[in-house]
Amino acid sequence: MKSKKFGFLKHYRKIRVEGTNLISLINKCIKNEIDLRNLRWKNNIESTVEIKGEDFTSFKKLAGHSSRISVVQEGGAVPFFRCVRENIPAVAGAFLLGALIFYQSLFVAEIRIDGYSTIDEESLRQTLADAGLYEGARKSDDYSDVKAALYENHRSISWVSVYEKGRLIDISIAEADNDEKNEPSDTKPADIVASRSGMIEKIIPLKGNARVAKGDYVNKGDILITGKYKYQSTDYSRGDDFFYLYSHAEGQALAKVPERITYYFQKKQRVLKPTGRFIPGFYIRTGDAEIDTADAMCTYEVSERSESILVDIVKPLPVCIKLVRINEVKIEEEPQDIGNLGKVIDAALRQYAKDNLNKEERILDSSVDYSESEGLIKADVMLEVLEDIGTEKYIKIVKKSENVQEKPEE
Amino acid sequence: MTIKDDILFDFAVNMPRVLVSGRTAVLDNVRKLMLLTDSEIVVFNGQRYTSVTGEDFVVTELKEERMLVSGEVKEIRFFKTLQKDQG
Repeated sequence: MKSKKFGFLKHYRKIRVEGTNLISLINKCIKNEIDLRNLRWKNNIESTVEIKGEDFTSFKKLAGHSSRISVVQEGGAVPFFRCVRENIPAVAGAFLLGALIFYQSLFVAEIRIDGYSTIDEESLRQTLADAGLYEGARKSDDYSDVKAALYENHRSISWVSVYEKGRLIDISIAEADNDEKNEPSDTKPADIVASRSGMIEKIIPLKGNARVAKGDYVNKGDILITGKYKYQSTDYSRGDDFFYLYSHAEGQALAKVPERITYYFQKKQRVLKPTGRFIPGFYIRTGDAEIDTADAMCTYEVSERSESILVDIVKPLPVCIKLVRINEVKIEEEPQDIGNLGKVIDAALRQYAKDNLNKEERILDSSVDYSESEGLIKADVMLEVLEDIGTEKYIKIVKKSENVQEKPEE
Repeated sequence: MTIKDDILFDFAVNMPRVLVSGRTAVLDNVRKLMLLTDSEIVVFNGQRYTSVTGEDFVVTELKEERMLVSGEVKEIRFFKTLQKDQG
């Protein structure tokens, strides 16, 4: 005996009955225990009804030739799975699409940073990337490493919040006020003295009196801008004696100073010469998974790798496809080209200026003297640098006599 | 309702029994369908007939001598055939 529990759920047919003896047919169904559902009367000769799939043959037999039976629709689990079986590619496609949508939700699509004022966004993004958070990276449950990296690399950050909104990572930053600005300015009496010897090129006293002028040669320790003023009293009670007033001198003293830098180069340089053999391939990365066909096949002892990006997208899925070429090279030694050394030294000097000199300071002139020793080329670079040589030196105040009073400025 | 009435009600298998609630009517003891349109349904219960009239009738289920009808029910009538008509 067939179970009737899931009759309609398992399989049902919606059929159209055309004929004049509908009532007789229904009565036969009642007698033969054929369950009917959604029986709709349309007109005197047409009705629709739903019956269980297993009752269809019996129903058709009962209807005989006096009624026309046509199946309008089929439903239930059996037709559904039959449909799935017949459309495996479509079902597989839908499954893949679902899997793709789920998979792409595991990666970061966008990073939004706000709240920064003094730090530039590029360096913040670089810090995030170093900590493993970038567009296309796998989402994480814990961003404490990212926060720690931000605090570590950017001291002015006082608070960081990392918040996930789907595939968007929202980073809010709060920066502390600049401590230097809040610190009360140093008011202790001080002179600006030369930190090294040089020829004064420009002197700008912001507070205090300049002791030197353009063209003066100064030695280390010479006072350039003084914070000590001599004045004659106009106070009747103190008489008309001379007194000293002290202040914290401020200003800039740009001087031409010589600088010497020595660079060493090997007489022979190593160069990579291609042998002409190469391995082409593809590099494909999707999320965390990556395939590098060229790298897998590479057996060269020394090689150079060149890549050209074909696809690099983050949405809807982080995918990167590169065309890779691994060239075999051999290392050879060649004598160093002096002309080429000049370019290297120029680049090194530009880097020196970038690292050591501020906005006003610059290299005025340079000369290079090459000398050779065993295996090495020595390049002595003489520089004439315009440099701020002024440095603060506190004034020691001593009372000399009763009628000369010295007191620091408040 | 006394126990006697209750038992008689439950075992009145050839008598009409109709439950109407909102747009749904449940007709029990349906032995035979006499008339079916979208505005009137007449069923034979064994001894009596039940007539339900209204609008937009759809027989949502018909099984085990029970008929579920959805639609706007306006009138329910019970009647029987005259003695002279019964053959």
